[in-house]
Amino acid sequence: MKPVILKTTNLHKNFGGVKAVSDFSFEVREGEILAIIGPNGAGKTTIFNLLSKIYEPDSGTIEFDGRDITKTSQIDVARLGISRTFQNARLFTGLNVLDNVKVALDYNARYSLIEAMLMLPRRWKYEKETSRAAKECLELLNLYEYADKRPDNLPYGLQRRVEIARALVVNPKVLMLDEPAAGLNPEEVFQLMDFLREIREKYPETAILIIEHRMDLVMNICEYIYVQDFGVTIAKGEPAEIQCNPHVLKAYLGEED
Amino acid sequence: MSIQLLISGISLGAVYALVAVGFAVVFSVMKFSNFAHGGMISACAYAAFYFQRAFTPPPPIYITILFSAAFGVLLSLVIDTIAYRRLRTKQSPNIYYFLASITMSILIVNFLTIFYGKNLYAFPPIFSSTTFHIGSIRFSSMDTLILLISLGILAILVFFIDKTRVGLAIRSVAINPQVSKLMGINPDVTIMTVFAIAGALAGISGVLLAMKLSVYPTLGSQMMIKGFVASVIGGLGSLSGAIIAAIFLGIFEIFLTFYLGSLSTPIVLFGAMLVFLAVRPSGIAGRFAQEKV
Amino acid sequence: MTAYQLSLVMLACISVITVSGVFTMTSLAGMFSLGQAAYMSICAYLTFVLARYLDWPIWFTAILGLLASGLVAFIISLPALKLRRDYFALLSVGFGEMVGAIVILLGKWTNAAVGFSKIPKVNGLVWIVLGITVLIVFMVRNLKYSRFGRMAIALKTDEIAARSFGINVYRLKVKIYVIASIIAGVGGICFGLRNRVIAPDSFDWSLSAEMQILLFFGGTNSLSGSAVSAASLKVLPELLKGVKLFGMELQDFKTIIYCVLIILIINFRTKGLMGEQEFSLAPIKKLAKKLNRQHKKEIAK
Repeated sequence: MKPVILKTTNLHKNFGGVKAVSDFSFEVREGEILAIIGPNGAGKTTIFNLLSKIYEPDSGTIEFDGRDITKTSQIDVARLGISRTFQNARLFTGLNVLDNVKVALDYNARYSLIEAMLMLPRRWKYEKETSRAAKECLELLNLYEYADKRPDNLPYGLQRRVEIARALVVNPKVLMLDEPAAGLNPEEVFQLMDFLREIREKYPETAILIIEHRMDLVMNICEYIYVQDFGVTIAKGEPAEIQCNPHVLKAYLGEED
Repeated sequence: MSIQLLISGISLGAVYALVAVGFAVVFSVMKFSNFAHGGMISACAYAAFYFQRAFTPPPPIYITILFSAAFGVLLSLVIDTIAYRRLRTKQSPNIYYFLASITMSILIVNFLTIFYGKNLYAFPPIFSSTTFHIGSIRFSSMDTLILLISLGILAILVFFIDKTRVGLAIRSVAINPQVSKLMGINPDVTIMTVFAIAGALAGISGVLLAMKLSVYPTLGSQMMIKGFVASVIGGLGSLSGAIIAAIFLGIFEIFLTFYLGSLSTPIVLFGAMLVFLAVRPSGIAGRFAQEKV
Repeated sequence: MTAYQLSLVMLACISVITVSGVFTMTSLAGMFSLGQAAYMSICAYLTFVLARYLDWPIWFTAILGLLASGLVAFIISLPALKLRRDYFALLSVGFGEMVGAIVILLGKWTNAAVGFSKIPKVNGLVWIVLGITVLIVFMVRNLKYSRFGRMAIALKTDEIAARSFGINVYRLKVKIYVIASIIAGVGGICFGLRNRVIAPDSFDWSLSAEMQILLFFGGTNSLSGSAVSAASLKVLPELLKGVKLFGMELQDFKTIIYCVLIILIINFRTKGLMGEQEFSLAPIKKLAKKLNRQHKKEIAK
């Protein structure tokens, strides 16, 4: 078994009395693909927002790579190697596709403001490095031809893919994908699955966390599944177990008479 | 001495409150700071000044105030139509509203400067004696009148927002425009109402400021800054917070001016505001209009 | 060139410098300030007053002035940039007022509202100003296409998403604000050297607002667009001096005309004349490449 990279214990989050997430405990191992599924309003995105520290948990702990990150800031969590996409593709509209990917690497490029303004050698060196990494990542996701397009001019499916590239380029330890298949047509979903498999191969250490509604994608790709309903984990297990779990069927299909 | 200062401070603060509330009303619904408010105040002050002079004998002050308020409403709606309406339909980002409102303000000030010059016009006096006494305390008639009018207007406004159906509509659009729309509230009408209220307030504060100071093109922009300060310290979008903050600001300023002189006042005011916002960024009311995650 | 034409060139240059400063702040990082003229004021007064009373060389006091505006910007921005953008814009107006008041308060040295006119004459000023302008535009351009530019544009679009890519939004904003204020200071020094007199009135908030207007006119995200608009809109009214329309001086209407234009642009061409496009050399480069290729082909034959 590979080591655990991300682990939460008894995570709670309330919004004005509404329990968005309660008692959420889970662990992700290096290189694992794990899905969190559940109907709308089950608190899945809240879990992502808690893990990436956009929200502070009310109680509970988050551990990453053996250290407690419950109190770490959003920025530092990102720098530690937890990378994510957003439900509604929050790309930076002022930047083209290539720059959108490059910007994810930028906090780490080692040249100063003065060097940037005066075009000193270190700027060239690190710009080249960043560009190379970003282009590689675009190629992996078949986006190279769109490198100088504005993301808001691209079809939605491509925007989602650019977002994955942006999250992936930092070579994260944990990659969180928030409904990557939402708004995609069936063909694009197949493509996405291929890309995910490729990412899996290219980045064998990276754990991938997916929130998804599309069962075909989840069942085909993921190794382990957590099912959330009204903020509570109602089931967890491998895809085959989940598919025939009565609680899950009830939550998804409602009571059938 | 200090009671006189206090009264004069409260009176100044009450006018600031009118300005601040005009600001806050628009902010609460539109979520942008309407810098055009300052220009509107100046324009209304000029309108009132010429209205007052057009008749011999001059009309009673309440007629002038009504006229100025009506003028303000009209101007405010015209500004909304010219500068903001198209932005709304396009759902442009906030910064464009901001820029449009500043531009409108500059436009009005320049317009006034070109046609009326930079001269100060003194508003014709309405009282034969400038002060009166209760016991041993001397009151300025002008300050007292301004105080009474401002407090009256503020009371009417608070009642209007809190107790009437239109006020309810405004509050609900301020909280959530989409849901309000579903509940059958017409957002366009509500927004126009809000601009009309802001215009009326600009009109009234324009006359009061003209009586207290005098009429000149940048009158409004200067007061607007004070009103804006008050509405921010009060918590942008909160009416009661803005009123309280404005009155404190008025008192603070009068005392500062008295003890330190008018030159140091803006410096201390700015410093105080910086410290206040650093300590409590959400303002007195504490309701922080948070940007959506 | 006549002295008048030279002075127009300098006017255009100063406008370009100050607008480039506003560009770094507003177009890159989305901060909207109406207090940039105050930094011109701080820097100009420090430079010329120190040079006059301490007899220090002007280039040295200029550096002190620039450092001082950077330092003031840093101190102001620490609390101010934690706030919402509206609050920040408000604070900048208050800040401008405060600086004006301080200048008058120190009237003993600054000659208060009358204006400080003991500014040394510099020979060949126009070349120096031109050189500085080119350097500033070059540096701002480089900034835009560096990691700082990208991160700034990212945080302007979406602060939360920017944070989730490790961008320290607050620190970056402070850095950019300091840079923008130093550039404003450069503009202030040039302004003083050209006009040979500075007064608190020359740097009030309407000047700051004018910079924002010039910037938006050229294009919200186009450095070249806003530089061109900064230069031309500033010089054009000077050329119209004395031109009368319907018996009224056209120049008096300069600001009104600009305001109307801005309202039209905001409403109908939201991103400014040039939008996000830069004037670029790409078409020329392409042509050169094509010619080159043809040339090679011919040789191959």
